[in-house]
Amino acid sequence: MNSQLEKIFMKVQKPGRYTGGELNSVVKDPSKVDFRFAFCFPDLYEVGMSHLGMKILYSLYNREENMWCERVFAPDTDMEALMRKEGIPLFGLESRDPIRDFDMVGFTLQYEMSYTAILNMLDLAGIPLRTSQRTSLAPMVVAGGPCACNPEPLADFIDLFVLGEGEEVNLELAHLFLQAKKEEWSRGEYLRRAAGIEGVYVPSLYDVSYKEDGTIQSVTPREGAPAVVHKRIIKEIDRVFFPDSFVVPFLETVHDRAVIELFRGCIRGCRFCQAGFIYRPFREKNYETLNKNGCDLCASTGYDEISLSSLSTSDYSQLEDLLEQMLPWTEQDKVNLSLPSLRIDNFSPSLMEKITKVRKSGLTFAPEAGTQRMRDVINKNVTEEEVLATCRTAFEGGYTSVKLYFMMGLPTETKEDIEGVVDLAQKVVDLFYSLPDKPKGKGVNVTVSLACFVPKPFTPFEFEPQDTEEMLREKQHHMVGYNRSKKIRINYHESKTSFLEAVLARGDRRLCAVLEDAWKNGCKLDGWTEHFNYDAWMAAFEKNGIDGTFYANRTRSYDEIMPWDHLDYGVTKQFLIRENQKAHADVPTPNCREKCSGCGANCLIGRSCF
Amino acid sequence: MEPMRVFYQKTGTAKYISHLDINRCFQRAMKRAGIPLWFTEGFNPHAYLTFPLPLALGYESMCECVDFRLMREMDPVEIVSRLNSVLPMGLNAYAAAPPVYKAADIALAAYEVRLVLADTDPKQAIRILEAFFAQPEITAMKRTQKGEKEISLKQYLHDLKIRPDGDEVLLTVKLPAGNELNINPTLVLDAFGQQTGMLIDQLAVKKTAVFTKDEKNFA
Ligand code: SF4
Repeated sequence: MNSQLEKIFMKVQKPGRYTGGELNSVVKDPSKVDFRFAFCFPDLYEVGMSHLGMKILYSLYNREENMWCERVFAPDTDMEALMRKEGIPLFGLESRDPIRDFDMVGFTLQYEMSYTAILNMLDLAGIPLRTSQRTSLAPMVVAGGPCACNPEPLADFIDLFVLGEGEEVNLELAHLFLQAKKEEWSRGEYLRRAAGIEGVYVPSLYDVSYKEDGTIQSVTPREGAPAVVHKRIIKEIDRVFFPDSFVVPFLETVHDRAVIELFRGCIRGCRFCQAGFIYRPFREKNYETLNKNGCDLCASTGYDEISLSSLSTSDYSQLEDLLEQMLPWTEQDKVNLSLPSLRIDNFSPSLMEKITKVRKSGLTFAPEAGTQRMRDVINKNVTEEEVLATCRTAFEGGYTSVKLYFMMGLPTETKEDIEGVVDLAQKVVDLFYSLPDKPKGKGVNVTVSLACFVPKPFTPFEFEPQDTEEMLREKQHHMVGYNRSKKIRINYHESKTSFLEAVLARGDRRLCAVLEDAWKNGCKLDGWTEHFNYDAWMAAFEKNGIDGTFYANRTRSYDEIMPWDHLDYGVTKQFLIRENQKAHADVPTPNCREKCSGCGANCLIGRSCF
Repeated sequence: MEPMRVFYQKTGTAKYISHLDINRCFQRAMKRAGIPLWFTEGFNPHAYLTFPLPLALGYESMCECVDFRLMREMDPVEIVSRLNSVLPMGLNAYAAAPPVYKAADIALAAYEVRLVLADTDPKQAIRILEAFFAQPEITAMKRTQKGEKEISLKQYLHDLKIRPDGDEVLLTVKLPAGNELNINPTLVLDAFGQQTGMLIDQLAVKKTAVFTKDEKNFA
């Protein structure tokens, strides 16, 4: 296979996506390992290599002497065409061996629009698409990641899902597999036993029946599988495994830098944000651990940038301590600190100073909605004064461009809320020009980035309909027409993609057939505008007699059985209902540090969160 | 601000690292190796690495080099050993010294080309290649900043030798290199392919030496 590969490497764009051999990549002797894992990221190399979860699991497995984890990404269309033409099956970057010969093939589910890439990768690997078509123990096809919280649209293709955090459960599955190999279990036997591990969901062990109106009647476990599968979390977050080295790509990737993870979970509870609920409860790492993580990573990779990653960086209670420890050495070694997802409301001048010390670039804020009422509905507890105060600090610190993120199509949204987005952006522009010490000789740029709201499982908005395409388009037009300033630029997202996301996010098993047909119609890199083919998707819906609007645009009643109701992510449905009711009453909820709202997630750690 | 030049080999998988990426790769390697690079001043300080003669993607090389400046003195032997302990597979430093020549002094590069012609045994391939190169005039299309330009190749082929090597044909040649005129073996072989209609099935190119105008080894 190698000489064949060498030939096609020279014919493709960016061969470095497929060659392996990067610094810190792990090559083992295949005869000396008992368990081979293919970590598949269903998108291009540049995207997948930016993902922290892959880096963690890669090191976690490879630390085990008898296990070898390799990386696999979706090939771009030119590479795929050559692989199909030359009959080269999908291979692991490290060994270049076909992954169909591996013990376990694992996909990470980061976004719904990557699902067709999973089918395409299975097909390229020569692995039967459907669970029911696979007969031998290996390869076992597994998946995890945020979208595993409603994995039903993939239920026919994936043998088992890992719910929640993977650091412990992945190794448990690997050890069970070693036992299965030794004792020559059938794949059915392995799956039955795996279903007994906390955090493991084997969809083929559940029967789903439907009512006349298309909603779910019941989900019934078989063969001893648990009625409810609880997600896994790491209780002692400060002791969780964290890699001291990353594979350093040759190619430029989306995020090509060291990353440390400040905490998991979020105290905020913004009602549209799935991550804010499924990663609960909030658990933070000690700043000394983090400083060491960062130091080790920079030493082993040579990166000149460290990203402080989390859902809301400034909620990290030890941020000042951490920066105090990190600034001296990062400054000396010319390493930049980047603090993404910095919240607007507690952005203090002293913090500001610490950050600008290292680097100056554009600022991004996410007020998410234009009016106070709308922000109360979504529980984004930021006031206009706070937005403006933060922008003032930023402008006075020398910034001249600000990017503001908003959503449209939110529950209860009116024309005033849409206009409020532009009004807020205009106030930011006006503020800039009113400042006596604004940066000299420069104009201000305010970019408004508009996403379409997608209702997600395990959020208080899981019951809500998504606006139809027409409604969204009308709102976009209204907003653009309402804007009078040349200093404000409005960017909006493709609503067709958001519609499909909404379908898949809250979909059930009947979508498996649609997914397969969409893939057969040529969909395989849906996340890329140039490859996205809406008509191919629509044809797949039509062929299967399935109406996407049933999933995207329908209001669910509180007592409807959701396709994911047999999965438990800590937050209770009663809590989600309570929050939904408060949203409709325009009532915000205090953050977890101020007051516990009894979401139920603390049961996972067996104590109160704070 | 000691100027320094490190020589290295680029072989195996490393041949797929593009020129742009090799720069970033060395920046990081220098950092891991703790080599005290001199940084530019200013708001976004960065180290200057320059590569006197860029290598085409897919070529191997026994004689690449990278120039940089040091903040403080460091033993060249130390630089080489530190770099080798942190460089990825396929990149191998073998010498370091203050530069003798300037990049502009580069005039020629020697290449080793291994190739297989489709459906042709090495003996026959050699006959076809020899006949091609024996022509009094060989033209090729070269891409320049101003678009494609026809050039006459014959005058630029120095010390051309062709011999069989197992199942392959081994062709060695020296070609003009550097800023003024750079001719890659691929250009020559593309002309061969187009004009003879032969399909090159396998091709591996390795740069083996770089020379100055007066044919001294570039150092
Ligand atoms: S249990 Fe209370 S404090 Fe903990 S995550 Fe839920 S609401 Fe927040």
